[in-house]
Amino acid sequence: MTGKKSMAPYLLIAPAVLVLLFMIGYPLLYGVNLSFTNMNLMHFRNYTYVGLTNYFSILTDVEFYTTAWRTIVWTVINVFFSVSFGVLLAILLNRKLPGKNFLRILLMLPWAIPQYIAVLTWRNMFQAQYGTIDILLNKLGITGVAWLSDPFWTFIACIITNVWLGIPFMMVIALGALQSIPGELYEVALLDGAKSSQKHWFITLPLLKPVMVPSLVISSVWTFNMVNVIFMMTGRTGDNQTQILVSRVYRDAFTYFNYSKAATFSVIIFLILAIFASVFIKAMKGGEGVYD
Amino acid sequence: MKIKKVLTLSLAALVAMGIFQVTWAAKPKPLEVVFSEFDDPNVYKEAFWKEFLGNFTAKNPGIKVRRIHNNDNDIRTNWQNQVATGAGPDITFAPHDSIGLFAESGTALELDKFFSKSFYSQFDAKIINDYKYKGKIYGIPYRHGNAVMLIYNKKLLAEAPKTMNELIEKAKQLTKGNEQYGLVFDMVEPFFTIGFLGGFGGQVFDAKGNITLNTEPMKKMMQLVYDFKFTHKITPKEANSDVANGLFREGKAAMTICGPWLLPQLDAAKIDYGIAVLPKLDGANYPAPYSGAKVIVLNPNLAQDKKKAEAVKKFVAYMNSASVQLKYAKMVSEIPTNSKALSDPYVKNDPKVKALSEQLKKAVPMPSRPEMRCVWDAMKSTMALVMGGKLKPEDAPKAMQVEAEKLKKNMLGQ
Repeated sequence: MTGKKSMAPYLLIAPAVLVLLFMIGYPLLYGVNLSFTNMNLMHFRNYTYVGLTNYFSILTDVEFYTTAWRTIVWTVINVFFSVSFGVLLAILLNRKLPGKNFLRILLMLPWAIPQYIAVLTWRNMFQAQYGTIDILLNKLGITGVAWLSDPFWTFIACIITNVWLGIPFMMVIALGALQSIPGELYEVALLDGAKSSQKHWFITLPLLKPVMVPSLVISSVWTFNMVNVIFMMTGRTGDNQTQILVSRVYRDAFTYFNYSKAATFSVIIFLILAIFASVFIKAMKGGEGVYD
Repeated sequence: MKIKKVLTLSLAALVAMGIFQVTWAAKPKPLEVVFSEFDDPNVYKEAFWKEFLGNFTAKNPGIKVRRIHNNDNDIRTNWQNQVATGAGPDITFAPHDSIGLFAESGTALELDKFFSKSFYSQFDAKIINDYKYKGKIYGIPYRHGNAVMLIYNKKLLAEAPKTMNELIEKAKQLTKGNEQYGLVFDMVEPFFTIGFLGGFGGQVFDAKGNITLNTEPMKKMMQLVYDFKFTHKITPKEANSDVANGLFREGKAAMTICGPWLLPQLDAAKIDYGIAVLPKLDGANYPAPYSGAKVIVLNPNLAQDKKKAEAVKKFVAYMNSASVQLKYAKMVSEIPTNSKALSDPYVKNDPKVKALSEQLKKAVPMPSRPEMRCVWDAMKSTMALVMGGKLKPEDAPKAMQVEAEKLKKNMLGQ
């Protein structure tokens, strides 16, 4: 009898585990396996195992490090701005505000628009001479920003677009967390004579942390692996000066058909992100409950 | 009791399944041929395909043909991945420059002996020869065209310029601030300007297939394109295809460098346009833009499946009969490859096709080596630097060469 009882939970999670095994486990192992082969267009149907050759060739290439550095810059800037704006807007929306519901819908719109449509719209707006942004800048007396032909500015354009896309998610998460903070805490602070800034610093932010740390991790991983924005803003493959690691994976796999190298890149990205996530969560003590 | 019930039930089920199988087997299963295409669904609509396939199956009742549509970005990748797993469609249509990729990675059947001599004899011999890869046939060109030409707005410019200097002079007169430009073209994709390289006597590969971008003709080409924007100021500040086509369509540009795919848009916008060959470069030759063909590629598995191979042969023969090719090519103002279709009045008299044929005489087929991808990407990123004013045009050829070789090394996993 007792044996049967302890089997029940496993049976209940079995379908989910099976799905995960097939949807995530198998492709992951397949990818790792591929990274030890030489599958590229010259050895497409007859590939062989080559050990760590791919890893050596990537890790000894300077371009890997510049791309990795660019990816980190990309991730940090994007996450920083989308979190800052997101939390700021959430704090605003958490107050008594005329037309709050309408504002909230408006601010969540970027999330509702399919990503590729949003990116293509932004790309049109960045067009020199005829794009909205260039027209506005010209009116302000700023000319000569070649958004889409100068790789530096293209990268900035990608960042602006991605931050715009990322704000609503952060805002919604932060808003949810804010609304779960008990009002009494603020009342007590008021009685103690705390200023508004002190309330935010000592009550709001610490109580936001347990929610924000996991969402920071998620959004870092998403941003790190954001191929859509770069891919569509630069037109297909991305130039070297705007490449991030994951767009490099895309390029190697689908325009150069070097599947083994792309798989190797993916494994390296996976390791980087796994290490980052575990270290970051540990450092922020993100796993702890609110009132521990 | 219970067990008995279960047993009888499953027995009954088995018998029932058996009966089904017998009835299935009684009907001869039609042989299914699967092909994937990437034609513009706005032009080649469902009704077209229904008729196109219906005419074939009416004459070949034992064969069922199934069509899969891909967009042109996915057609190579899908074919590569599907065939690599040992499955995939039997036939794919593809741009001819993917032949090298397919041939090298073993995803295309070599066709020299697959089809009979009499099959090949119905084609224009030069076209078949032009689109061979390393001397062998891997793709059968069924439609030809795709070279860029000079298209001009007759309202702004009565006659096409004969030389490049004349073009520049005219364009200068016709450029008015941000309102109107003398010349527009896609300044992002080097495909639109690579014809100048050939005009100056350059090629991107030598006879052995080595990349040769760091050359004097390349320097001249980069200088010319740079001068359009920075010296003569006859182009917009930046333009991809959307912008260039949009400006021309709105009558805000006198001339554009573009291919036949722009023409339906211009007809719809009621622009009065003329078409001419790209004007002769002063002190050099006529530009030699790249031409392209659409080809039919077959699955290597057909080598083992004789029965299916016969069905595929019939379908490919149907597609390449003079009347079908002609109808198919007409819809996008391109040129058939069947000799009989080529002598049709459509090819001889249609002004668009006539102009395209003139340009094709000066064009060269786009190389189909897989390394071409490296050449394009290297040229594209270097051209972006030059057109952004970050790199001098005279330094571009060397940068391209270095970049293309690096990409090649990466592609081949060396």
